[in-house]
Amino acid sequence: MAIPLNILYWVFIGLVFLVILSALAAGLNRAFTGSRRKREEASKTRCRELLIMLGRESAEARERVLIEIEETLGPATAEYIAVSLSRLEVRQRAELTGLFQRKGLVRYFVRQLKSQRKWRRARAAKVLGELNLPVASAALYRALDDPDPDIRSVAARGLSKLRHPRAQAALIEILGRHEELISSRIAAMFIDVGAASVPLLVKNMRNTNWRARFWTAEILGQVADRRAEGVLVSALNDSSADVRAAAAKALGKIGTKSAGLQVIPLLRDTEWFVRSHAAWTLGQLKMVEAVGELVRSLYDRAWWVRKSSLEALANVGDAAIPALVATLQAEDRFARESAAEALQRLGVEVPSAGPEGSRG
Amino acid sequence: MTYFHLMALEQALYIASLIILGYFAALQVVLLILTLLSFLDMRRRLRQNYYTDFECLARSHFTMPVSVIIPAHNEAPVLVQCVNSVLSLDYPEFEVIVVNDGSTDDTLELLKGAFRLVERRVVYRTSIPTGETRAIYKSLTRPNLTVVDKAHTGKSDALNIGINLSRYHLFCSIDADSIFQSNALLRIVRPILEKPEEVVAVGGQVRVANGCVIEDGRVITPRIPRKLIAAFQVIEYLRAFVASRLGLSRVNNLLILSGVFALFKKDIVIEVGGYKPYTVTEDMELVVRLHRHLRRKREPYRVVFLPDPICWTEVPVSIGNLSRQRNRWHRGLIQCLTRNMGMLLNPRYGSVGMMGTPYYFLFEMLGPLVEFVGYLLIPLAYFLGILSVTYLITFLLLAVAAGTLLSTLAVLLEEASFGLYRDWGDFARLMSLAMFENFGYRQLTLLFRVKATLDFLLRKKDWGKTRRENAEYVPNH
Repeated sequence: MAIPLNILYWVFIGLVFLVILSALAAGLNRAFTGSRRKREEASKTRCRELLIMLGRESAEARERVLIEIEETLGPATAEYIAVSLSRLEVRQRAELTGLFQRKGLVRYFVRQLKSQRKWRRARAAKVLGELNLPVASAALYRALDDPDPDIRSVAARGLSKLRHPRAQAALIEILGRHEELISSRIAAMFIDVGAASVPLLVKNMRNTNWRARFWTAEILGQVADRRAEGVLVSALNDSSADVRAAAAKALGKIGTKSAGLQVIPLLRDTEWFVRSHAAWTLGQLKMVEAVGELVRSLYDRAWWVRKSSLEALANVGDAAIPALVATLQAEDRFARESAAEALQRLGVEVPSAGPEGSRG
Repeated sequence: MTYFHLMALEQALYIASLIILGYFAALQVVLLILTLLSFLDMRRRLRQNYYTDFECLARSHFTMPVSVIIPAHNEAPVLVQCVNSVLSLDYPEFEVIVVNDGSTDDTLELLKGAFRLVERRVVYRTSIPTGETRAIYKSLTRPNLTVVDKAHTGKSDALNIGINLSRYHLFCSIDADSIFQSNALLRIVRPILEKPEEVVAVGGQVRVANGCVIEDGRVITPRIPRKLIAAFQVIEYLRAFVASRLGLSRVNNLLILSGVFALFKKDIVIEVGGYKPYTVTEDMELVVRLHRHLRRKREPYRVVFLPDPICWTEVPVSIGNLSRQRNRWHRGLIQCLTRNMGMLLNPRYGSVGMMGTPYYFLFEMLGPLVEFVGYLLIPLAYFLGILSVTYLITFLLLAVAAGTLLSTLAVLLEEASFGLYRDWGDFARLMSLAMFENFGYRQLTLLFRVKATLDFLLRKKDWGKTRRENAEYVPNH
């Protein structure tokens, strides 16, 4: 053998050394993580107790509690206390936010938001998002342009918690501009705000960015406020097919028959997903007037349109039965079987369509 | 034998041993690099999770809905619990499709009783050609549960029927004998929500459920199984999932996503023709085909492995079942790689062709053969009188040390990330298992894989289904 034995011995010793090192590291990690977790848990428990006492004790006792919180409050405990702020009453929240300012923690985290280290920025954005302070919000607006999507996401989440008109205006500006995850977070916030956000959203339907209009239509559908009906009906003629589809879907959730009549022509849209959403909406609105067009859509070249039309006809109810019974004789197998499925859902007995009755 | 022949044989043995040594050195280096990559990626992903608003995702109207497909063949003892566990997952909108693949036990009857199933006409799209269905049932109590009954045509066909019937853009394939953490679906979908254009498939981590304390279909306390064969597999799974796959995923060269728990974009799976029945590891075959298809199309894409959506599965505890399982896995690996030989070292397939496929080919497929030849050379050299006992012992010690190092690094990675096994006794067992698996267990699985190679060459087609064993679950009373 050409490999000298002593080299092999050294390799072996090196490997054994690494094994011992990694085993020790795993053991030490377990021991330290365990004790660190215990310390953190103890610290959180104390903070939790103090925050509870802050809400219950007399004015004098509260003063003492505030002093103790001030002593406890530092970069390490700030995150937990900040996250708990939303559960407190307005006055206590104001007192604690004041403590953050007095201890210089707001400045500290605003500085951290410019750190080179990504996760420091993330932590700072998370803490600042919990403090309803103008200086924190201003820093978060800037963080919306952070090059890292994770930071943008945390900043958007922070701003969405503020429920402040200015924050909403800033968030609606970036709607559809960044990653889907961020837009969906912002959308969730507007849905939570509900009817109060409708005027702003209606205005945003004139945004030149189609993605912004798309997301706005999606939100309006979830908020389901009738004030949005006009702008959504206009959006049925939008140049973007995504917006047309979202508007059609939103109208299905708002639920007026007059809007439903405007949706019927979309069953002949050039894009299959617009036709599919239109069919869904017509089913939601139980549009008897659309039965003929929906039956026609059972023969659509796009499978999803046919499936949505089937669902829609089943939703329309008894008024669709004659048209569905007539479709049982159709030459197109899918249309025939869809009619049978829809009739069965409506409680009408239909003879078996053959051995492969479930195929589309 | 002449002196000349002996010299030639000795030379050949010497060259063979050098090749084997070089091979193992290269393998260890590659595995170490993958483990290091895993360390880096794990740190990033855990931090990312910490700052992700899963609560918002869980109630958002915009979290993409998912169809969960459960193929089931003779899964009566576990299926109802599994379906209940999946139905109670924390996710805004999802449907569950159970495909009863011609079970001969009372799988279907149990489902009918537990979920009040009624037969329904359902028109569905045959995007992927499949076998016939016997009936489709909808649940009266769970509106998002559909059960399909079909003749036994195999797991691939069952999955394809599930895909055809699914309503949503994403589908998740799971095994009936698995247990999920309540947030598993939310976590596995995250990469697709982040990059919907790019990510086509996501795999979650699979852990050993044997020995764990289970309550209401959830793992309450993870424990190391008492039975040695199952316990060794804890280390194996840690090495494979936590260390190796995470590293391969980071460089987008992951060719295997476990069918136990994987999420796919439906349209792309339909585009490549769904699961294929010609292989015994349909999960790997599908992922390889996705790579091949998307590389050819020159579209940016990612196949991601995530360490945090955790799914627990029952592993074999008898040698027979372990042998059948490993035989199937290795045969499937060989089938997939030999069917896609065109990708090997082909620059057209980018890093998957130049790195991923060669890695699986050289180290995963040929590894057992090279190791086996190494073991065969020892008696041969002994009979020829050219075996140096000192060298033999040194090499064996080196192999044990290298194997132990990779296992302890995997344990370290687990400790530094999840630290699921809280008991110090379990930790001590993990560490000792990391060393002792090199004495006997490793050689045993090596034999299974060598036999799998022979079976592949002999064109054995058996799926190699493991027989159900009494799970070593510990009820929490």
